[in-house]
Amino acid sequence: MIGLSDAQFEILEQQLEKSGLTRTGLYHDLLDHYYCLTESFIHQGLAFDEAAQKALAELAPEGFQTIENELIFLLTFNLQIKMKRLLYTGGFASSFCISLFFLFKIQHWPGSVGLGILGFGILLLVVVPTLLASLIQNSADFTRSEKVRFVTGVVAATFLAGGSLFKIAYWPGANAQIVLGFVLLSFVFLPLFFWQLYQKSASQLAV
Amino acid sequence: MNQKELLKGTLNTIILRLLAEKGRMYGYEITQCVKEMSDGKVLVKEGSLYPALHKLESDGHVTVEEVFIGKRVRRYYQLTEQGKSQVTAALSELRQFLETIHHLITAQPLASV
Repeated sequence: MIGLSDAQFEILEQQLEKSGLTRTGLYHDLLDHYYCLTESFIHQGLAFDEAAQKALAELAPEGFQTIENELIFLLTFNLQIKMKRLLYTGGFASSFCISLFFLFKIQHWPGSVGLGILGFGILLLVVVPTLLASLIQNSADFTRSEKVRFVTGVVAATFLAGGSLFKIAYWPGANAQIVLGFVLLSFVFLPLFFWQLYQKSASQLAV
Repeated sequence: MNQKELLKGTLNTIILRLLAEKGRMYGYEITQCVKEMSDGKVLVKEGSLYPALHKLESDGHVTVEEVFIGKRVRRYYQLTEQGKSQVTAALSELRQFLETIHHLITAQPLASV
């Protein structure tokens, strides 16, 4: 089979580079495949431009990035399952301890401090980092406003959990953290949350 | 259900089987080989093939050799010892599955698969 010229090869290369693939191995695989497909279509009698277009449509009808996303999903599947397990177990443990902390505190029962430290500690050290890592990993699936909401929620949760821990332990700086946490929660996270909830519900009605 | 969905669970086994038979192959070669062997009835989509190959590589079932063909790099995939040991088990599992499906849709045991 007659090979492509250097100029034609560069056109294919540029097309692939535009997609912004980050995994070198996949890039080489797809470039070689793109080349072979284009070459075979030329061999069938098509002109280069038409052959390259047809090859692109066959190779990556939904874009090269979709192939990379599928690969990343496959490679991180087990990790994502573990992260979800950690997130939900940690979420349950922290909410369980925090609710018991409030009950013990209100009733003036002994052990409220320990429960508070445990609950807010798990929230701060397990739930928040796992949530943040999960958001970073799946950031491609979210819109810009959703990203703002999630990040604000994570930061607010960090301040509130940290502030509560500081408060329980009588460390300085607790009030500032709690105020910052509530400001973010009330003025950014909650309005965005309810606005997005409204938009989602309205769009479901429109369908 | 389209062919892509039906092929989903069998792609890894097909790749392992081909690599066991041919030694080393590159992606385009695999798609063409499957097409020829199935008389054009089975078309492996590149969007499924490369993620599967890279996953097999990450799991240690295949290894990659990079060869320059002019200006581009061709990546040849071949089975590792671990991959070779997987082939028989994977084929047997797929055969049993196909037998079960055949039985389910025809109520006849599939003896010849």
